[in-house]
Amino acid sequence: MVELDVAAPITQRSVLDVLETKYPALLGTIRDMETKKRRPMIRFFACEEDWSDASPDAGLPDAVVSGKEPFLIIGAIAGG
Amino acid sequence: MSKIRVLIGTRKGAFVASSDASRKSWKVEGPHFAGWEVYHLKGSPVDPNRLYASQSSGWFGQVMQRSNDAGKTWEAVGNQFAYEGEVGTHTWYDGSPHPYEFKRVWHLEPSLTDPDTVYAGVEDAAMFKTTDAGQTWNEMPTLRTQKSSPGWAPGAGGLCLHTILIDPSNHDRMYAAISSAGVFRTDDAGQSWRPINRGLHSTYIPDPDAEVGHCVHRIAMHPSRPNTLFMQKHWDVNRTDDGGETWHEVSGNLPSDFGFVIDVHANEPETIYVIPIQSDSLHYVAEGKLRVYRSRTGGNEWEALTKGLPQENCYVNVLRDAMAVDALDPCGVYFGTSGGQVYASADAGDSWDPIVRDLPPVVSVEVQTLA
Repeated sequence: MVELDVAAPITQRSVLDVLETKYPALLGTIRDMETKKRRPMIRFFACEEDWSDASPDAGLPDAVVSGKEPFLIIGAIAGG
Repeated sequence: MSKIRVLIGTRKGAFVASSDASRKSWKVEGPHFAGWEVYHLKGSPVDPNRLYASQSSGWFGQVMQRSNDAGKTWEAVGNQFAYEGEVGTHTWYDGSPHPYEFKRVWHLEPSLTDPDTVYAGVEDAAMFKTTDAGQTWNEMPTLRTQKSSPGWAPGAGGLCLHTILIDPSNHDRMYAAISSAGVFRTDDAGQSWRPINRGLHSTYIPDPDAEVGHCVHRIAMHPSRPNTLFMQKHWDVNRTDDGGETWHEVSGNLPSDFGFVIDVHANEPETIYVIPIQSDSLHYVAEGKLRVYRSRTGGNEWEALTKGLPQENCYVNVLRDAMAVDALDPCGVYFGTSGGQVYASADAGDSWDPIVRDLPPVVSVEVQTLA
């Protein structure tokens, strides 16, 4: 679990931009390095909702913005 | 007193095994990068504390790791492998053109002179190079952009550049082996490459004597004889004595000439090792017996080495990067299996003992001989 300071608008894209800047080792492991599309076997969740296919520029829930709830980045339960 | 360090890549992490020159009692550390596939880890011959590792997974993709303290601690370095220029296509399994697409780093080959320089063989087949200890990786594009490359097709394991050899007598000469395209050589430090597959015969491809298209599994060289290479191919074992200009088969009396690994005795350039598996569809050793085969004549005449290896109910495979030798006398030989065993011989293969038995499936084995 990490805490990030993200300037508005707080979206998947802005959160991941800050995350990758703060932790460069994560580059390419959550989003494709070139296209910035979510890697196929990574899933996003927030407030018990699946945000994997939501627009990366859609505003995240207020509870995530306020820090009350996390934005979850999870490897898909698949494979071996 | 010399020490031995064995670097082991597995499907679920990396392990480091250490011993003294007796090679009898081992300390095993790991797993590093637990849960990740570690296709290869290798140390710099210039600075043995400098290690590089290829860490990948289907979920998170490729991460490159570097250690400056012999594997005790690691840091993630650059993991961007972008093809240079026009990406182009190779041939897909169904014969259609398919864009080159980076999937993973298969093999790391540290420079013989600079600990910050490393060559990386990747899937889809290309060679990359770092000169800043892994922070950035740049393609050496002339290998992938040869005129034959649109016709390169993947083997079952993917279109992978899995072996890189550097000629110790002339560092501008390097060899790269690709499944399933063949062997390529550069004589100008990677500015240009050409296929060197003449003499290889592969009955499973449309033209058995084609210039490219042979599924080379592994090539090996003794540093004192850089013009002599040994090859384990998808069926048959071959050798060249003229730097790859011509090859000839040396399978001889092997019970099966299908396999992945091949390596050369550290002190005897004509002594080579393979581990045959039953066939291209049965990727395990034959008859339930794990047997290493050794030739002291550079091929053709082979003897089975079985002492200390299971001779019943053993159905494992040994993958192409999973055998190595140390530089001691007697030469030590090491290999890891798909069943998670890593075996060591301190007497050039006459007898074997397990370093460790129950690891995840082993993908790669490298050995460092430390003064």
